[in-house]
Amino acid sequence: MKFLLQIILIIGLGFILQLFFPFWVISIVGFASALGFRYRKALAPFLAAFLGGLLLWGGMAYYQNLPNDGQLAERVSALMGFGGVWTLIILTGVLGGLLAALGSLSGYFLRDLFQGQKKPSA
Amino acid sequence: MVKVIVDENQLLPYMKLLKFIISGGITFGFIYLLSTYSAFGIAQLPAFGKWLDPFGGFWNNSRSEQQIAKESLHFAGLSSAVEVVYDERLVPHVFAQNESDALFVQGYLEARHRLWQMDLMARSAAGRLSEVLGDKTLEIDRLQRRKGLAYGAEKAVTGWVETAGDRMNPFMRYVDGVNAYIDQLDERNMPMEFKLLGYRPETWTALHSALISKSMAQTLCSRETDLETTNALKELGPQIFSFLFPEYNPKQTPIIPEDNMVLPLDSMLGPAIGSTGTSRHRRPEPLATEFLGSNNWAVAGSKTASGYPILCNDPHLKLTLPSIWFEIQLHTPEYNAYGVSVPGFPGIMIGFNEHIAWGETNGSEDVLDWYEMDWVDGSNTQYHFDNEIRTVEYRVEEIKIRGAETVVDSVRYTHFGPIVYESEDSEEADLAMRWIALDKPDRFEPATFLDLNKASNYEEYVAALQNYISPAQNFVFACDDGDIGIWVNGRFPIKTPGQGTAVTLADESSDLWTDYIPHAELPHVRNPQQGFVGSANQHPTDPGYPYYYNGNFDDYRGRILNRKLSQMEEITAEDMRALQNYNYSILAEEALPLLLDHLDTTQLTTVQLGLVELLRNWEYEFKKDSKAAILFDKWWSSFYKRTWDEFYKLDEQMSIRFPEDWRTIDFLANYPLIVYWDDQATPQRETPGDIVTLAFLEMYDNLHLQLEEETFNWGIYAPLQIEHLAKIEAFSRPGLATGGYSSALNAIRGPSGTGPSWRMVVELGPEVKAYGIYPGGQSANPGSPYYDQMIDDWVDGAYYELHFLKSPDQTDPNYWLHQEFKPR
Repeated sequence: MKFLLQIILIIGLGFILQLFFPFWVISIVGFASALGFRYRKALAPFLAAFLGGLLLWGGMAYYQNLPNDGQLAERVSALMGFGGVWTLIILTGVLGGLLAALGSLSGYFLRDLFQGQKKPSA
Repeated sequence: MVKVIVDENQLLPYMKLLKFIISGGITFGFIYLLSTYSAFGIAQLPAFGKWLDPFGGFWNNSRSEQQIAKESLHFAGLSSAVEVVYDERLVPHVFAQNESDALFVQGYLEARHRLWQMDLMARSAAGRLSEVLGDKTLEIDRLQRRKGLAYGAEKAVTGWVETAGDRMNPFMRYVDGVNAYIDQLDERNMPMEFKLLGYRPETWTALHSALISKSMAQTLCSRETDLETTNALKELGPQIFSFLFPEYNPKQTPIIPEDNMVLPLDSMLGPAIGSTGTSRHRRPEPLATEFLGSNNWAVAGSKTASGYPILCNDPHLKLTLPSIWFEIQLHTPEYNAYGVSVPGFPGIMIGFNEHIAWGETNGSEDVLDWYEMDWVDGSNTQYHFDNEIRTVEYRVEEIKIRGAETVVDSVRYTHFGPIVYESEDSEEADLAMRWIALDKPDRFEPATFLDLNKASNYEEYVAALQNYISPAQNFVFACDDGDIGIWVNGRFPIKTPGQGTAVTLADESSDLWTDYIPHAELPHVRNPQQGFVGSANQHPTDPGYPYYYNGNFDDYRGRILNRKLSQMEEITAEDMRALQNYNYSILAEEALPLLLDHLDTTQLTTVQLGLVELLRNWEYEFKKDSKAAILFDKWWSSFYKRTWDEFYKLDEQMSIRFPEDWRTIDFLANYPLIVYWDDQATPQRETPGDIVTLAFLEMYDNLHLQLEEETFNWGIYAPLQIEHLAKIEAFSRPGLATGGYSSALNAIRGPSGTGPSWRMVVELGPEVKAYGIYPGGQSANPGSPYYDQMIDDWVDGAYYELHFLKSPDQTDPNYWLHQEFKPR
């Protein structure tokens, strides 16, 4: 449940903040969102944030791509030396995912640092 | 042995802290890398985070034209509201209440659609590419600084301010309009080229617009072969030189028609050249391309079906994406003008209004001369001049380089001009450049186009032309009252015969340019008997013209133009469009029968004889689907290289001038015994027939495999590539199969990427009917449907009827966008 909630939080908060702040704000969103949930292990917050960032960036790239039928993305993917609009959308998504996931991981570790004693032993 | 016992629980907080620090560090490091241009030292690698960010990176540029609709624009720089209507090709039709407002919006719109191109063009002229592209452009920048384009642009602005009076005001409103666009840019809505290269556009100034004009001057009026001529003179001696390089082809038909053309014998003997330098010269850069040119013409009502004049223009330039031209209509209560402008410079350069039409071709007169300095000593800072000693002045050029130390270059200025070519060894000399484009203008040059935009008769056309200095152009004109005319327009130094054809020793005041041909005495003609005027970069006059001039003049396009126009009657706009697309070459018409005559067919196989038959039936047209065109082109170039093998050999040691095509044909027809027919690589002595036959066999060897393919034709053999300005392949349009040849009116030259950069046909009358097209699109954004919208139609030789609107109120859905600019 919290896994899903974190994904939704990243997409929602990320979307709003990205309209006003540079690209790295997605890492801060990932970081902040991880503080709000209690995970036992690092993998879950990493994955949740990765999926959130991936969906937000990939989805936005897809949406931006619609009005001109992929013409720009087609040319840019050729410029970057690989073929295809979808590759570019996925690459963009993965980048957003990584940025959010790294932030989220840091958030998890920070929370873990202060909650270490209360953490149930594995 | 000591056993250390560590309590895991004691260590745990430190482990956790370490994990947090490492994870945070990786996050920051990752963000830093993604924000860094040229990360890992990889040149021109974009900052991937910024670049791929779907909210602000290149993805955001997918929406550029759609965003226009949402823009609500208020500007302090406007005095009243301006309405803009866009048509189906993204051509803005600007309706303003006065010229200043119209130019403000022109500036805004050109920046809106072409800002990076403007930035690049100004930067390239000023020698400031390295600031954004890094050290790989350092040598290009250094040469530009030495040529003093920025120095010339600074002088131009000073001269314009001094002479403009209140005319500087509308000019500056254009500059304000560009900045109105730049000022509202942020990281997200910047043109994508800036995002890719990771820099921000700087504030536009009058100097930037002056640099645009200097860039045009460099493209168009810096052509000369002084170094090559000097070397040729030294190698050949004056007599042979004159024999090989006559200045005037007697078959040439000049721009200004003469009923009683007299060819003085002198002109056939070539120029008398004054004191040439003593050194050999090696040009440190390629010679300006010879494939730039243009056609323009106007036919009088007496020769048209409608009874009104028709004016045509197609400037041949390097074809790029985005295109050099931006199409626009400017409407004010005072005038209504439509045409193309060069983004970065106010006004319409080639176009028409309700009464007149105008267009330009390049004047090929040589207005750039080289002088060899006579230095006093090895420090090369003082020189002899008229028995006195003069000292150079320094202009310090700081070339900023992205990611590297600034390079400082001190350029020496003599009273001829800057030392551009520096000697690297004592065999060569330092050369100073005297170029008209570096002079401080004594006229407000931008007034030329602004005044043409509103001119309504011949007198106003002539008045507008008087403000023009460089680059020299042949301005063609037609008016709905029936007048047609052409004026070879610009500033030309008065030269003694032969002056400036070769490098001159800069030791006497007689070597200086002292005066200029008065404007009224420049070659021009109004309503000639023949019923048409036209130019195609050929000699402006016959040799009877009283002032001496020299240059590299085209021989063939002017001749076919004059031949066709003198034959045609009842001309329609459609006829004129066909003429602009005409692929017929007089070079082929004159050379091919001679080649065929000299060909020794007894040496040929049946297959080869078949090719000869193909050539015999060819009608000298470089059509896209022609096979014979390939055979001729390859045969001719092989023949030329074999004939002038002596020159190719010299070219390995020095910059050398090559004989012209027409003279080569002349030799083949009339001089079977000259020494140049001999191939120096063989012991025997060749005849013209041997060379022609060897060239044919060489052509066959190179082509026979491809010739077997059914689909192999001229369009495929010589495809055109329209390159992006940053040479980004993904943004270019390669492999365009077109017809055309450099000596045909349709002067498309695939391998050099040059050709008609704007085709325009204007039929004047009570209702102006105009047609135009250029190989590109209005938008510079590679993601826009308007990026390369017109290329395929242009390749097909098609035209669009231009929407010459009278009001912004259009109900047709093709006018898909109304936009209002309001004063704040």
